[in-house]
Amino acid sequence: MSPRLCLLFALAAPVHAGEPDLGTEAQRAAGEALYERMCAQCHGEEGDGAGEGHDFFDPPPRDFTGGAYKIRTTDNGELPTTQDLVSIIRRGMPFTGMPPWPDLTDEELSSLAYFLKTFAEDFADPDANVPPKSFPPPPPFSAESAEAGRSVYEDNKCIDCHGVQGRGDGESGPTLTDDWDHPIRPADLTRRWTFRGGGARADLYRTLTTGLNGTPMPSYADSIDEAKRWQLVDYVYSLSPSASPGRTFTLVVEPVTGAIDLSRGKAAFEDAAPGTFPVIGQVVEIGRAFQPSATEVEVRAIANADEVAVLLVWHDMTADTSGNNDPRATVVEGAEPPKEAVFSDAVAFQIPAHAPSGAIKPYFLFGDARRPVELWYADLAREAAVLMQGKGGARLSVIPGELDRFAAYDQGEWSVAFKRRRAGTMPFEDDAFIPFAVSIWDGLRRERGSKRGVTSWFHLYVKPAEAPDPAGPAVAAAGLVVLLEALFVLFFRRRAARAQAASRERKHP
Amino acid sequence: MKKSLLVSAFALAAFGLSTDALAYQGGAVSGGGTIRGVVIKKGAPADPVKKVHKNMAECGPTVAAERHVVSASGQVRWAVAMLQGVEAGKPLDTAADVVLDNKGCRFEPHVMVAPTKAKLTVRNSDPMLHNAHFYLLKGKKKKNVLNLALPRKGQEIKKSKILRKSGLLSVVCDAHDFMQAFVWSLPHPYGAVTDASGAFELTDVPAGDHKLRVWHEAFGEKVVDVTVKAGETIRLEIAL
Repeated sequence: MSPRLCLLFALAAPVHAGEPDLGTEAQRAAGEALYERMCAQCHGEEGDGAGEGHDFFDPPPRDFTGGAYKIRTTDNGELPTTQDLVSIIRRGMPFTGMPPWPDLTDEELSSLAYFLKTFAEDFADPDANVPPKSFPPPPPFSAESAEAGRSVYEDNKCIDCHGVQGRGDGESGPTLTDDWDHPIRPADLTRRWTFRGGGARADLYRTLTTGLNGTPMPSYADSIDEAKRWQLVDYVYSLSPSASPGRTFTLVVEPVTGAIDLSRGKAAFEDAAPGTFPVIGQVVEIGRAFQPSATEVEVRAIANADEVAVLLVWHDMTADTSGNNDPRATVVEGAEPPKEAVFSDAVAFQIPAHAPSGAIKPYFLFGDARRPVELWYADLAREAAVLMQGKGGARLSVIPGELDRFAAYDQGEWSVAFKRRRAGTMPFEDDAFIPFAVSIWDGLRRERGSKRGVTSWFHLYVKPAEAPDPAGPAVAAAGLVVLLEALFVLFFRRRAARAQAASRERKHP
Repeated sequence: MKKSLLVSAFALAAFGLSTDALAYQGGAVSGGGTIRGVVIKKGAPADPVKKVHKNMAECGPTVAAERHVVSASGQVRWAVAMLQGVEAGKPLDTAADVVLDNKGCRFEPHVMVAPTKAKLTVRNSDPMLHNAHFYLLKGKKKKNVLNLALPRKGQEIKKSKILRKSGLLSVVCDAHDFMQAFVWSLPHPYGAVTDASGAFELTDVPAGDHKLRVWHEAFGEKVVDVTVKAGETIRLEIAL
């Protein structure tokens, strides 16, 4: 190396520079082969995120050409380390189109990471490679720390984006965009299993410290000291019930006495146990949406002698109550409706139109010709609910019948309830198991028609009102067992006593 | 295959160096001259008004975009005049106190020049959350440099990494999508922002031929040749 070049190297190396880690040519070539096979479909041949899958994902596949990666151990605005890239690929990005790749070997993952680095020239610039930050091991979680974290949350205006309750419904939400000008939603902090970088406390701490490159989430490394950052971590951690909510397949329709007053909203359903059901994208028919806005819906159901009511609760960043929505809206892929078109939030509760005979249920996407479904539909920009029959996504029609509706939006949460008579073509008879499914449309994200969040079929169990208390028979059965045992003991004792007496008589006649 | 070539080229690039700021030699300038100019735009449209969605009590219902701040006679405010490719001249003060404030729901100043490798102080003078999100612009691409949370009034954060490289930085506040500023990180001291009368001044410019670049966020840019003579002042009118 010439002395001048040596001098150049010395001058060009600022204090924070790291050594570029680019792997060997063989590693990059191996990475390229893997990339072509497994990644290019979404991330594009050129790594610009413009692969075939691009239009179907929200968030769209990452564009690697700028070197912006959300989940890193390096400072905000910096490139990720090789290990950061390996971790992201291995773990995937929850609730996006990026799956985990647990079957790839360490060698394959690092080859891929080295190949990804070829898409952004900065990785080769020593000045642009900074060493990772050091992260202390998490202190133990405590309820006091979480409680103290609430004021850290408020003082640092986390509310502005993530909302008072942390449901991702802050005031800034609707105007947020990522570095590519795509709309982006603040995380729903009450569902930490959806966090892209993971929901462990160490993950939360890392995100607060480094921010998420490519997104509006800034670094709080300079504005919240470490102790308070852990309090904030604990507060956010405490907002989610657990690593994943309790899922169920069957929801009990709780019997109630007296009239069902839907105007009481959630309070009318207090006695019913909730069930949580995953909402996924409709990806079968035209209008596919891989990541709908809603990720889950909480359902409660009650019934009195004549009526049945269902409550659906889900999180939504904004209440979109202007414009309109219709499950029959046609979606043309690749042709978005005009910008002026405003879509409202909407929801549909689906049951079979007739009591199913046997195990075959109607097609889960609005039924089929042989097995139609009944839809309880609410466009949340309208006052009235609509009763529909579906024989498939393209064959929905309004049918006569009474259906009551209640709707309320509070701090990032919709609560919508429907009420119908128990009698009908699909009667809610005692002890019946009735399949149900839910569809949710987020108007802000222009979900409409087939572009929506859906659940699979689950079941309602209509619990009879006069079901006997199991305690009575249990006590009776236990009593009977004790009585029988006593009789046995008595019988054998008396027999033994008689035998003894007889043998004494034989010895001493 | 094309990609393999790219990979090899990339490996070679690993030995490349960024030579920002290395090229410039600062020192005493004797026999320098002055460039004074006025930037003009005729027939500029009215300054756009941006809607405020948040903190309306403090920010009001709308704010000025400051994209077309032009006087009745066409004098352009917030343009930047800078020398291009200047290799030596007066010292570049990388210890300068450069401040970008978040004040009154706008960045203050809206456009600034700052020495590359200086530390930039980012301040929040507003009683609300701002986030100063710096991007380095390269053609149509933007690269995230730093996204800094400023949740409290009176907060000041001094960072060396913002001006690590030379070039044009765009600054936005994600919390207030109507806020926008530009920072020109220059590897030499010959850059100035035009005032309300469209005027700028560059002093102690070494005598000789120079390329003067004038940039404006909405009206584009122009490069003109200037010849500076010792002890003289050149007066220019540059129409965008």
